[in-house]
Amino acid sequence: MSVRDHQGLTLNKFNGLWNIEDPDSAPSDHFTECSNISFLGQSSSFKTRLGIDISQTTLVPLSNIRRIYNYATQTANTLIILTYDDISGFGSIYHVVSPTIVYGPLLTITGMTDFAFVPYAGRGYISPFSDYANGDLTFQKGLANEFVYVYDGLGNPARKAAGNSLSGVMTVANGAAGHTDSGFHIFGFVSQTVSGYNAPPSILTSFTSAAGSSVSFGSIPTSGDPSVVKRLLVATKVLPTFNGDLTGYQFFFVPNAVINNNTATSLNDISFYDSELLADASHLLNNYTSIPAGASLSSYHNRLCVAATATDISLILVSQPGEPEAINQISGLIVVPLDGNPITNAQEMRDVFYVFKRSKTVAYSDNGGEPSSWPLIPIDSALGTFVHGIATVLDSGSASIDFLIVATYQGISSFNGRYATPELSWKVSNYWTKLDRNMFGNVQIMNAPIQKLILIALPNRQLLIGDYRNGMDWKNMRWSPWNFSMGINTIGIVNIDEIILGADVF
Amino acid sequence: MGTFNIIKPSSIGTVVGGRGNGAGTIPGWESNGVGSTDANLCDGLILGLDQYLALANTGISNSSIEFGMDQSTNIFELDGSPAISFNNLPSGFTITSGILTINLNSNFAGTFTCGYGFNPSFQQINDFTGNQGFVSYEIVLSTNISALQFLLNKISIAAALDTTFAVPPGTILGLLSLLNYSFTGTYEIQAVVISPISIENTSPARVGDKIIINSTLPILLGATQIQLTYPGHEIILDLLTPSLTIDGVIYYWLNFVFIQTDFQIQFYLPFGFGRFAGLVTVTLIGNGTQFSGSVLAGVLNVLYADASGIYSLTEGQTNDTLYFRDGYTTDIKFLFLNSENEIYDDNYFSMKQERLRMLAMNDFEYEDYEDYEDNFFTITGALRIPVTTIETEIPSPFVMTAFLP
Repeated sequence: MSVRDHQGLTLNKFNGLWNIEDPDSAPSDHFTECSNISFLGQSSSFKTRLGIDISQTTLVPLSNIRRIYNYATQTANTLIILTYDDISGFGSIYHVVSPTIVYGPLLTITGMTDFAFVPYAGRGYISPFSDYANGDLTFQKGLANEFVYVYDGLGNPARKAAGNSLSGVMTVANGAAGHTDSGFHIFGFVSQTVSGYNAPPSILTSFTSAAGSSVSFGSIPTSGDPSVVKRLLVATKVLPTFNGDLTGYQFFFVPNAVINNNTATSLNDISFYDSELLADASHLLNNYTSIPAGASLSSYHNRLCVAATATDISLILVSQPGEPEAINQISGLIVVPLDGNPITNAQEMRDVFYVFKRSKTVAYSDNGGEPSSWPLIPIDSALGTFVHGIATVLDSGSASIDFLIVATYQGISSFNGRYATPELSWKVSNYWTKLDRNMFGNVQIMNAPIQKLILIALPNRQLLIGDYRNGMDWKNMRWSPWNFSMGINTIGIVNIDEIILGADVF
Repeated sequence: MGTFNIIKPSSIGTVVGGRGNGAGTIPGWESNGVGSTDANLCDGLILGLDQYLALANTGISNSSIEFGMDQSTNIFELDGSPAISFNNLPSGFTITSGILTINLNSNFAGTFTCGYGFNPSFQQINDFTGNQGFVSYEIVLSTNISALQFLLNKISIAAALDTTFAVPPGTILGLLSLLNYSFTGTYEIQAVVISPISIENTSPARVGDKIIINSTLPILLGATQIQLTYPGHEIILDLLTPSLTIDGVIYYWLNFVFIQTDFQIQFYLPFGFGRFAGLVTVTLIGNGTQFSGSVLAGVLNVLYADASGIYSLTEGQTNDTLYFRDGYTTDIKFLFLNSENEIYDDNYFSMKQERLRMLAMNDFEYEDYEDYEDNFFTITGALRIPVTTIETEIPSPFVMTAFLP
């Protein structure tokens, strides 16, 4: 064919990177290489990616950033940030409120190279974790001998979630004229922290009350925990027989019998009838007083869920509803079928609790009973995700409600109870599968619906950007890798659509 | 062939066990009768019995001292001529043999070790136990090395007390002395191969800087890899299957080298150097057609700058603005003290609320305070890492279309 006969080909569509195994299959409206490109609206135009600017204007900005989480407090959208000093080995968590205000370090732990975070009622729950090697595999689980921490959102240091019960002895005696069901009772006190956690009943003391008298308590121990703000009286109903085991009976909160401080040592003239003892406190006896750290924190039905602890990588600890620090050591446990792989993530969607391992997905559904009784529903035996592999939306710090965007070994998939195929990242599947699988613990996804972008921090310290302004399906997604002069390894969003990037020394 | 003599080390590396005062009254390393600055210690190593480098009166176990050489100090004597620096050595200078001699003198009762090493490893050359008196020790370099390799690897000399040798601090132990250092050998000027390939960058580079490799011959399209090596580490940019490999771990990175023509290759210095700063050897690997094997392109002086931190994507911004931390500084502030404080004695600073360690005594005598009664001040020093910003271009915006019919 001569040049004269050549028909020109007009290129008027550019739909991003095409990187599947056969490069010759790339359509003419795609690129075989495509770095640092932003697409302009729904048109086919493109330009150089946006530049980045510093986000902190303080004299000493944070450095060596390992992880960013969005933290929606009751008054602002802020960031929780982990820095890691690779020389000393200390990981430190900060609360970045604005470009000029930083609280912290809230928590500093040796070897904390990553952490899980979930906001709850304005507070933040923090679980330190790190990488562990198992043969050739690298996975994540909670730091050994470490715990879940709670942060009040106000700049105070994070403290261990839950807490110890009171210790010591108290005196019990008949008080002024009043009323009780006469007979043998066991009394005790429950300490309550500022975050609402009720410790197991303690300083249990038996006493035989008289019908015409109230009951008074003296020498009540105070707690050494400065977060304790209340102490609540608990009691059994009249026990016709007593076998000597003070903890072997059902305890109830006594109405209006509360010490609203951690200083008073007496509570006098408490009257009650057994029929008024309705609020059960017995379950507190089996609660964790400190919650082991895990690699995953999530919430489901107003419960806090901790998974992949240092000692059991397939265990989920589930709290009582509305009491995120109250986790029963017997009935609050879910054991995901063991397969040698740790639980990596968990997410509530459409009233179902989805639990992920790196290559498996299962679900549990709250049946109204204790978590240990929830039925297991297998979802997918090949696909799962990673510790930061579920996209969070806007600055909420949580996932989409109606569907999830999930990073799997096959690519970026939408998940609505099943993984949609082909996956959203089908056009860059070759690029994705060449990433180092042992470093997928670094993959973090953010969905920015205002810009209609999916941003993925990759193990190679690069970003993969998916533009879905033409549609969120495998055909219409437009992909472009972005790279930077420093190692980007985490992302976040504040103020609805301000995309934040974190870089470490690499 | 000629003879060379490296007259003395030019720098002090790690010192474990502290520094003495030169008088033997404070435990630690010192140049006897002189002092313990870096220069004192380097000089002490080459002196004789009357004035030697010594580890005096310390009970600190595992004490050691390390010496290094640099490229700019005049330490190379060639054929008895005045010493010149490495940078002024003739082209093609290659060490063909070398003998390092150190004399040891000890009256320790315990075990100690002397050795040398290519930093950071320490190769033990012998153990000594008990009072050894005077020992002469020789180290023979077994292989030919270039002067550059010699310096890049920071050959070091070290002496260490054994870890088992622990006694209460302050115990009078006597001396472990290093003296009469000499490092001599032979060299030759090897034929200098004129390479058509060279690095254009002459200034030190930081991660993210653009590096340009030129060739006077049209051969650079035949490069398949760029290797960046520094002691103990290797970073490879693969041009055939675009990727970045750092110490054997592959980091897939499309289009890292963004210009490759017959005469020029341009790329951005990748991350992966961690906190390293120093000389990096740049080598090109050929495809066997335009050129074969590995060809040295040159040596880059890489500087470290910490650009980690929190960034935001900014609409309309056409470059990247990065944090820039490249060292430490001490801020000096004048702290004006209120005039209500009367000065009654020399312990004036202990009266202040400011923490003592934050207060640096200035040169004022007691009488001076009275002169400046209304304007008392002192100076605070606070160590910090200065954080500035640096503007960089967005790395390689690049597209390549599909195959078009």
